[in-house]
Amino acid sequence: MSGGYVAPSLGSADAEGFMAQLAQAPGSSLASNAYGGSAASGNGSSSYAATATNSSYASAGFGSAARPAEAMSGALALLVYLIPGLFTGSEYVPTFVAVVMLSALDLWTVKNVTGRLLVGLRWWNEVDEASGRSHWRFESFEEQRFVHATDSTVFWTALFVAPALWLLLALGCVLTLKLHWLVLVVVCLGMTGINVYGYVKCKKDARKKIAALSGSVAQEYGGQILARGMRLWQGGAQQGERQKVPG
Amino acid sequence: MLCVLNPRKANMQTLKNWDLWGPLVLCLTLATLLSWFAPYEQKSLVFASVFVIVCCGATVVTVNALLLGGNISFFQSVCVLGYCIFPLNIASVICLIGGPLIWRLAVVAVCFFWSTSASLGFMGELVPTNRRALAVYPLFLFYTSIGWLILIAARTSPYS
Repeated sequence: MSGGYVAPSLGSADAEGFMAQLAQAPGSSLASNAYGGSAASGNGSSSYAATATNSSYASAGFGSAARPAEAMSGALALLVYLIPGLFTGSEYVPTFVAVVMLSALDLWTVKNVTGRLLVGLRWWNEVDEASGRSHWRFESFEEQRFVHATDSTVFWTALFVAPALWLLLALGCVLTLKLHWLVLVVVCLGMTGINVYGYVKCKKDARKKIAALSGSVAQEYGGQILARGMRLWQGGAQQGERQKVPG
Repeated sequence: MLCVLNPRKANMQTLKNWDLWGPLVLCLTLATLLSWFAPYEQKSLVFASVFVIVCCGATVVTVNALLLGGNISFFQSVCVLGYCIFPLNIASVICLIGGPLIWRLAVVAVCFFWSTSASLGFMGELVPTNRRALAVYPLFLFYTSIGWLILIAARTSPYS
């Protein structure tokens, strides 16, 4: 592993070797610098780096712990909203406060913890020191192919189902004219929608990277194979000539 | 948060580390406090109104500052405005404990000036000088309306 580049533990030792090779490639050095530079500013990235350096963690261990947490966090906010009698009573104010806090916690969890663990994507905001402008960064890890299919499915399903359900509830509020509940539902819709937007942009960035990377890797491998084939062919031709001459 | 409490020590560096958790908690606290002592049939209305006014008011003031050519990002500005609600939170706690109208008026006025000066410390620098009044006026309106809500909410308190 190169200097600032921390390998997320999403694979076996084979992945480590692959990523070490990738870290030398010019395209990924920018990503590794960005990751190392932002490690101080990211929320969960310090704990992430600490866990990731222990590369003996199997991905199944991480994934199986993170999957139920991911599904739970979004569902909890929905449950508290839909079953008022069970948790906080049918009063407006405690329900509102509880649902908003749970939704905000869910947003933080999905953005900082489960996204990085399950699918290796992250996005955050940086304020440029010189000009005072803020930039949104959307990043994906190089080893996208080591993301487990189950983790990915659970993550994306939960990500899209949450705002869809809140949208349905919002429609229900509008149609039944419960406007004070509409405020709450719109807030929660916004929070889940923010995560969807961020991760979709990350995914697009990941796809672009994969396309660029696979193109260059294919060229490299293709070139090596071609060179090897040429040498074999030349060697075979020479041997054939030597055989012809005596016989 | 500390920058609001000590307006003298505020500087632009702290603005870089914006977050929206503080403003969310402060907004919820203010709305909860104001609705706590409202008449029963108005509780949800008061809560929702305060929440929407704080959120939309902060957004509008931010958009106004941005459109006037402010050199600040949307979230930084909302963060500042949200944290500067804190003195008004204190005012609402004090007002809800009770007291004559003059006392409540004085408390709300002091906290209003505290809030406004703290947020002016950030917002004023980031807007071109000739348009500063245009950016500051909605800020005044925003905090005045919240202060007014605090003042009239306390009138129905059972302790006053």
